[in-house]
Amino acid sequence: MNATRTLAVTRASLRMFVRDRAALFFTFAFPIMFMLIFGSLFGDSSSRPSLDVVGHGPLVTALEQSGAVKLKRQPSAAEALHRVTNGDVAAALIVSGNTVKLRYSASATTESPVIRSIVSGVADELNLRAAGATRTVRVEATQVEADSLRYVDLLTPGLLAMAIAQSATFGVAFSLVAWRQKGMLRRLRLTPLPLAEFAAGRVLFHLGIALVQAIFLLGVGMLVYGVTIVGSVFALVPIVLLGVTPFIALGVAIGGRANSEDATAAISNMIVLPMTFLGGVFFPVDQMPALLRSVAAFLPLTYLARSLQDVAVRGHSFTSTLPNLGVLALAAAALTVASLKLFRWQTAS
Amino acid sequence: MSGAPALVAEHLEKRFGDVHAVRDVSFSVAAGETFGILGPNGAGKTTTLEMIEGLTVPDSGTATILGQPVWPHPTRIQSRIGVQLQTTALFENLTASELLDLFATFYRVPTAGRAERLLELVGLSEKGKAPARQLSGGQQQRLAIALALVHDPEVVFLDEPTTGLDPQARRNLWDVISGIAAAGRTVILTTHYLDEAESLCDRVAIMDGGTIIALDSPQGLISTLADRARVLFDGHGLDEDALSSLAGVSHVAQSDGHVELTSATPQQTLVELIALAEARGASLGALAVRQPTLEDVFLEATGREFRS
Repeated sequence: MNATRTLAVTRASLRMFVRDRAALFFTFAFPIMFMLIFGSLFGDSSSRPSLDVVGHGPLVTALEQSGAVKLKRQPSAAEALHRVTNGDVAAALIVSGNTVKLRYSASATTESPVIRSIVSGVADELNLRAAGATRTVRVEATQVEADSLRYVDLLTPGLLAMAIAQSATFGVAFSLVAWRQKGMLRRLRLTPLPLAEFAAGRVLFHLGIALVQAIFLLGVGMLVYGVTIVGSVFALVPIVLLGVTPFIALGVAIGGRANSEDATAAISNMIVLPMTFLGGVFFPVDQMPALLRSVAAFLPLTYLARSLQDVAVRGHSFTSTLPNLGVLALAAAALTVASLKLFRWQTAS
Repeated sequence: MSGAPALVAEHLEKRFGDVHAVRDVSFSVAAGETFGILGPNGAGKTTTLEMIEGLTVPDSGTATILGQPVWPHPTRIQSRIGVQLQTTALFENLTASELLDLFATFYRVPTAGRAERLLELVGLSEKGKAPARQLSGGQQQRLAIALALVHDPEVVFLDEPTTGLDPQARRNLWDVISGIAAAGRTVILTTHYLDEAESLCDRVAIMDGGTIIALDSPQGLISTLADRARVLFDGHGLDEDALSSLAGVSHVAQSDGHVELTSATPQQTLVELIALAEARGASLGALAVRQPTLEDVFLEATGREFRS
């Protein structure tokens, strides 16, 4: 292994990359577009549901103190009901004296049941206190995530996982197929540059790009959406670096065999797109149907997205994410073996 | 120059499925020689070259470069040979200088001043900072040749270096190739241009159907057809009997007033032809004498017209 030659390959790769506008777009601008679109669609939805309130009373005060729901005052019961019917809010609480009416929309499938149980829980508590009863059971519920995780907090590290996976897979696959078609691989074979040094130089390049993506995407998430990185920033480095490797190998497997750029695009999209939607980037994996969950369990992106989300925003320790990293390493090893079997120096004629 | 040949190919054979691409090809190239492999498309030129360069494993036969067998370890000879492939392969987003520096690093030779020197050699001094994708076809070919020379190889392989270029670019490239040969390197080139082989090569192997059908210096090949000079003119009023009785004429062909005489002694034929025309009051338009060319050698050897 000659370090000068390996680094020369990395440096040349970087030069080619910064002069390739399409590659720059897909590496940086494309994930940012997703962040802005999904961030503005769902960005504000925190885990606290909203509830319209009309009137005053001890129940309203207790709900306010609980902090479990976001209360929004409405001038009249008619106005509040109108908003529920319209779907502007999931439920409305109408208080007149000791009678409390909770009107909710069945179409708000996640929020309505949550609001119902919060309201009845707080009401039960008040009733028990009024009756002077002592509690037999006391439930203390605290969410395991860092305080008030919003959609965009999970979206940002998820999109980083997507961006890393996409640029490595597409970048490796497309450059391989283009170089093979143009005879560049054969040309390189005629030089004394060993394949291992060429591969090492290219891997270094993709690792570097992934780190820049991490700084860039997390930075934009922090600046635009106030995403807080609660975990150690340094713990993210090995996750990002290990996280690229299965996708580099996947790119070699696709580009090492596909005979045209069209075929490469088709195969890459067929693998990467479903992975993006099932891997927990846009929707949490544990809210998916069982069948899709078991598909997600086989996708390396699932583990990269989870690991980045856990350590970056959920505040999990690096050691607790080691099982995820183990799966990524295993996937990288398996895909490397597959890619070496599939690799062709020249287009089969 | 030592007497040891720079390259020896012996009984090279290659099949691709049902296609017998190269059949029992043998030749040797002296150090410092410019050797051409001439033939139409599909003749087996590129396959022959690639078996010698170490890109394609021969089914049988041996290739030896500078005393070292190429197979089974083709990488051992790589630092002593330079190759320009038929399809120009470049990293298109790198500049000419960056590509030359990168390749120099691959061969672990010093980069300082090397790119400038090579660019000047191939006439691209002005293009050092231009990305490869912005170079014309001829400029890319010249850059590919510069890349083949980056480590000062003793033996240089050029596979159809001028294919697809306009006549001016071809002439420019011929000067580059002559320069490489003049620097004492051994050059092996393939071409399907007869004039290219004739003007660049010390010796030429003509290939067709996977075999070498003739091998000699261009003049040597043509001299076998010394009695096949042609006298050409446009004119009417000269009958075939009179023409075929002119001195040296062995064959007369006429069509639409265009006449072609095949002659072993064109000078005497010409003298008698002019006298005959004067006597008959006929005019000789576009009168020309054509010496045999490699095209005639190909036609003679294969019975077919040479089609590039």
